[in-house]
Amino acid sequence: MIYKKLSGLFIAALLPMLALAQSQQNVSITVSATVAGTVEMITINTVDFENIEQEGSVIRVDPVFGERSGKMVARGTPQAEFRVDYIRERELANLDGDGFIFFSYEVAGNSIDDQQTAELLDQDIRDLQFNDEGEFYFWIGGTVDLSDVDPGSYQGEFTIEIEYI
Amino acid sequence: MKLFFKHIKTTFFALLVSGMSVNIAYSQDIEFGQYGTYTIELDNIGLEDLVFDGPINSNSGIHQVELIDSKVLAIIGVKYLDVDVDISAEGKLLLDGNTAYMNDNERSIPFTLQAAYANNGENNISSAKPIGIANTPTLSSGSARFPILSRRQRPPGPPPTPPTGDFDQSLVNETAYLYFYGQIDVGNVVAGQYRGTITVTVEYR
Repeated sequence: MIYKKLSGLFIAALLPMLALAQSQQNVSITVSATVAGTVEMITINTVDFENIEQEGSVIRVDPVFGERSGKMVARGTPQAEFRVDYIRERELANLDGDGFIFFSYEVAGNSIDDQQTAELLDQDIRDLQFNDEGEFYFWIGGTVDLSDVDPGSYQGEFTIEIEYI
Repeated sequence: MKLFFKHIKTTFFALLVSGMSVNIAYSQDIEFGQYGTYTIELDNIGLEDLVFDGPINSNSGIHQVELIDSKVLAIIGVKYLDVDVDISAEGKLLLDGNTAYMNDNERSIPFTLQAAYANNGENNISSAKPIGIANTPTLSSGSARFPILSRRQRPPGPPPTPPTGDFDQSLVNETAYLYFYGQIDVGNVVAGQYRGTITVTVEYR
């Protein structure tokens, strides 16, 4: 009997607490900021035109399907968004004498290391995203017209700009 | 002996009077909400939390989220009741939210929290009133007490009728709004995602 009374009192004592619990709410808000680091560009392969099969005077290396395309990997902040821009046409100088040729670059990019599924970056400025490891892959190809050039070895630069958004 | 008791009575009476005079110095503070079965909701407005948008570079100094871009919470409750709002946050955002970096200046960013509320029934920052937040290097905290719906300078009305079996709270509900914003001071820190947490507690007074 005394236990019954005790448990009754205990439940009665809990009631005000239950009423209180309904009238209180908690919420947590996450505050976040992403600090961008520097971007490192690493050249894996350069564009290879040696002994390439030629159709007419124009030779082309396909950046998506071409085995001779150049390859670069950009390393930055994981999952950070960035904007990429590159100079589409470059002058390559003849190292053995006078003259130069114009090279039109084509670039494909992918967040995974898979050239076949890379997307052709055919607009001037693109918004892209580093993968979970902070990497993004580029394949570089292009076309060059050899119809009116002196023999020699030609060399030039490829410039790609990466900027965090 | 009679005189002795008279003295004691007088002293006791004087103590009572002085005790009363002390009590008179305080206003009444009756927590009507505490014993009712009123409910309260605290809801997120929008999906995003408080985000300092990029690009944020190391050593770039102050970055501010303004009141107009603030994180908003809605308090839905009985319009004539007062609520106590308690706010607390760490004074720093930490790399990956890892508390082990609390004292690592290269992996933590000082965070100054600001907050405001609006209780005129509208989600409108132009009528928002600031909530005082004490910001220290390790803790930001503040509190506010206000009615869910502003009484607009009128004196408070009579105490509300306690809820009965026929009480429908939705008929007397109104929404007040809380705004959270602030700034970070980005020093020479390593790249990555920095996170912190603001904890908000709302209850009827």
